[in-house]
Amino acid sequence: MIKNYFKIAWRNLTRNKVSSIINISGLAIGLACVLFIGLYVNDELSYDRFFKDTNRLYRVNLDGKMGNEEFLLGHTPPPVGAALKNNFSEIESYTRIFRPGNEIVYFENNGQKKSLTEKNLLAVDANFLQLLSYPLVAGNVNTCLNGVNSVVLTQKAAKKYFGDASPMGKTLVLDEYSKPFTVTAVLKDLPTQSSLQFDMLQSTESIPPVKRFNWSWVWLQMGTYVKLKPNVASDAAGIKRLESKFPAMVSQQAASAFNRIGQPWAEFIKKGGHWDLHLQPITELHLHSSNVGTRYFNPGDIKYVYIFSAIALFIILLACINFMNLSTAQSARRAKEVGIRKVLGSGRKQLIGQFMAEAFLYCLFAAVIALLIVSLALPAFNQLSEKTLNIGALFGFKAIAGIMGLIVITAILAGSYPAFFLTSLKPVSILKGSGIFKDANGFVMRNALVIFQFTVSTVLIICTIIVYKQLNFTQTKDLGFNKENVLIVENAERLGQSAESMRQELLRLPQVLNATISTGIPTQNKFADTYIPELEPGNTKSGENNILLSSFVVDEAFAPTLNLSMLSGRNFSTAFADSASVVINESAARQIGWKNPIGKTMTYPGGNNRQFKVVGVVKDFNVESLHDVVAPFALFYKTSKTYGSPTSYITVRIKPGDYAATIAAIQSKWKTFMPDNPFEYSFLDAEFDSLYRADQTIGKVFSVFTFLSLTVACLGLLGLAIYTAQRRTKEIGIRKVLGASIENVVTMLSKDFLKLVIIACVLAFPIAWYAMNKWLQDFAYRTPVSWWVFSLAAGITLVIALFTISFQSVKAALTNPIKSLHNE
Amino acid sequence: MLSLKNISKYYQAGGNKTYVLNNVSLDVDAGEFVSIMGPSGSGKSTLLNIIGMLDEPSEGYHYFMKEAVHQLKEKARSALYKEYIGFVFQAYHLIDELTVYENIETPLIYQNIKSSERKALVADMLDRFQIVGKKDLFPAQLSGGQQQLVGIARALITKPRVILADEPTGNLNSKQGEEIMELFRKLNKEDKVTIIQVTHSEKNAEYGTRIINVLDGKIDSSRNV
Repeated sequence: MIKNYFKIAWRNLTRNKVSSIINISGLAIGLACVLFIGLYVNDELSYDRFFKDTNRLYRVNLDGKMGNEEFLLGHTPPPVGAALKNNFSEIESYTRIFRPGNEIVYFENNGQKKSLTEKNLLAVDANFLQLLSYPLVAGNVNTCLNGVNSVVLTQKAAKKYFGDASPMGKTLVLDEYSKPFTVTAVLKDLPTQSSLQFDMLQSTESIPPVKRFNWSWVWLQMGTYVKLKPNVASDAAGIKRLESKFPAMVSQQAASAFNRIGQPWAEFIKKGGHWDLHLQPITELHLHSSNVGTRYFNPGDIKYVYIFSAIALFIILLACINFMNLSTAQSARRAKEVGIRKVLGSGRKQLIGQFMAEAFLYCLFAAVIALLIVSLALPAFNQLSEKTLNIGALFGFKAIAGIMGLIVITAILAGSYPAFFLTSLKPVSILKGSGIFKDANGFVMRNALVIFQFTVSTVLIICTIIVYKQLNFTQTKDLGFNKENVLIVENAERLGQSAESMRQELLRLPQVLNATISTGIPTQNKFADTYIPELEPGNTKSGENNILLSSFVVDEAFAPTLNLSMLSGRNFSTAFADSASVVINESAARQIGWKNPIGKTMTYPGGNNRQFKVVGVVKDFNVESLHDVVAPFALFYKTSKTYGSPTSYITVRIKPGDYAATIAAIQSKWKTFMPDNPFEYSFLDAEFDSLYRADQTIGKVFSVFTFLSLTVACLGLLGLAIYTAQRRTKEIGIRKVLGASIENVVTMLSKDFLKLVIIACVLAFPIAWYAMNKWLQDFAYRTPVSWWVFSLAAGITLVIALFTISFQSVKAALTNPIKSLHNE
Repeated sequence: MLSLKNISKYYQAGGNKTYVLNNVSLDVDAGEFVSIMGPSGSGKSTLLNIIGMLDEPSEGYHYFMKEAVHQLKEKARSALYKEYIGFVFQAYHLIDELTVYENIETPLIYQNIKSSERKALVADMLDRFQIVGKKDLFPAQLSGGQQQLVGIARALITKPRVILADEPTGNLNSKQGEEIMELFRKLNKEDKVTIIQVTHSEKNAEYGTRIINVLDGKIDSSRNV
């Protein structure tokens, strides 16, 4: 019986080539999308699961409130790990990480002295690799990080420094340290599914600030992991109970540190402050920490896993609808077969089986083609999604079972409606006379399904347009400064005292318009701390009067180089002694509540209560991406004693034009000052762009899937148009004989379909509007969801649909009527 | 073997009932060859469909092989006709996607007959109708007469007691039609198959043992040949 099912299915498939091609290619596109998205989602879900005892590993997060500032961080103060282990028997061990800045590494390769900048350095506690079991290629996991001067390299880093020679026992000199470091172990290159990425490990023992802040419960620069005892980790309630014991311990341990910074613990709590530790499973770091602030990890977002899964579901649904529509549209022909079979004694079950077998056969073919598409297009998809997905992931036992399941589900989805619809027909009504019958229900159902398809497609088109509109907005919005033609020379701190001479040298270059030295630049290295502003007379604002200010330390050329605009007061100037001056932005003035900020003072409790007088107010400028609101910000003058940031930059405004020559000129200046030091530079506009990498990826992936869904929907429409033209051949012939023009016929055939597409557009508008408003919430600064987006999307859909239909309509209209009438 | 008592078939159109069959009673014995005649729209095809259980009467009693068909559920009815009745159509109604061989084989599949047995039965039938050479052709490759031959072979493959034929020669030329009618006569005489046919042609009707005239949903006359 089964053999018979497949035989007839195969004959049908080969007989109706056009509808078979439409069905199979639609299903293949749908399945390929599902496979791509499946690979993507599977990859997203597999982060941080390769460690030994992964389910016992937790990151310690800090949920804090100090002053008006609330934050949830993936960082903790240095003593947290030890305090947790010493106070709670549930915790087996802990390890900490710290991200030092870039280091220049001096090394010898083949007898040649070389230097490179290492940007991916991580300082860790000695037991780091025992908890987080990144596999070693060489060295001893227990001892490799002992001692101040050990480094562990990944294979990639080892190759970078020592080529193919064995790196074990070789030495590297790090810029900030006098004693060389010895390579004690080599790690296998990290899996991409590791939230934490690094190329070189050194011991936290060797990092001075880690030692210096060992007492501090407010220096939030360390990542802390803990490993729970097995019985605790397997018990969710136990973990909750453990967390509930943390606050008592923190208030006891942190009190003295809070006193030391002038924030007595009791007062801190009374003002509404809190300092809570939480445990987050390491497996959740990647997808469930988009709300956790960190500069150590680059988390993904579970939201996109959901969005992409939904898109995959919709596209496969669209392909299934094509199958349903074409099957029922051709039911006039199939109905005869059903009628005969019923008369010959077939039960309904057997007929349903036969139609399902047919759907299954189509899906099987589609799946083979889909696998082919995936294996060919995977590199392109990887580039698009910035993943390193592997086709091999599709050939595991679980994946194959999944694919089989997918085929069966798709077959059921696609085949069940035609199966039940066709087999419900009464043979006597089909076989009477010539075998033509009308299916009014099928007609309504088909229309509803076409509307659904185009609704989905139009929603996706609108979403794509808005995503791109927002991305465009991020590039063109006035940031409060000019990011074009700004080159950043990094590592300027290495110039030490000669930084200013270097700046002067640069100013002499004809291509250079201006240059400034600062501890930070927009996108990089802002420093935040609490200040106490003076109250304006008459301001009765009670209670908390601290303000968290982010800041750069800059020279007088900073504002002119970046084209910041001063709203009132003045910029720093060599004509004044500005060591106790500060320039604040509008937001700071607004948040403090100063109506006239010039001349007001603020105190820096973290810096011996030094006072700063406001000399100028600058228009708000975006230091971070447009996802975030402009925060209160301050600029301090280079001679002021606020804090000493180790990093500094020379920012150069250059003339547009021959960038290569300009870069070469600046580089040669750098070489005269720092012959042994690599020259590292970047462009400010590129740095800003990179803040939207994730958004751009989403935009690209979105547009591809939009295109595919539209293709599938149009394939379906094409099939229906062909079928309609065939069915109405006689009617068209009669109309032409009666004097209808070709336009009349084309209009008649296209009108009905276009009506459906227009209804679909109207349905799509509110859905897309809602979805995109939600998505835009992620941006503090966003493009409006304008009406023209909707009209554009509707226009695109209509034009494509019309093109699809008219092809068939025109063909039908051009047919000689004598032929079609003669046939009947 | 077959008995219709006061069978009516009507459609509700507005407040009126439009009768297709009006209070028809008919008995057919085993071994008869009945020809039903009548003008278009007289209800003769509906009568045949009701006999074949493809259509249900609105009123009346229907007995077949001593079963009260009007009381049977759809499934039981279908099992009944599957076992005893073979159908032959004016438009042949072969399945276009199946070969001659497969078309003939199909009813056996639905009777759950084993593959080897099916092969033997179909081979016999092909032999008997002398269409062995055409067994791998598709219906579209055959002439009308040949298609109807296959249709009859398919109807006979399950060894039915009754053949119901709805204008079996309607689409054929006269020579082909004669051949088919000769075949029917032979089946009736030699194989004792009961045959009920609907026909327009006086000449073809004469092949039967009884001719029934239907007019406006009623049996107008009935005569033995």
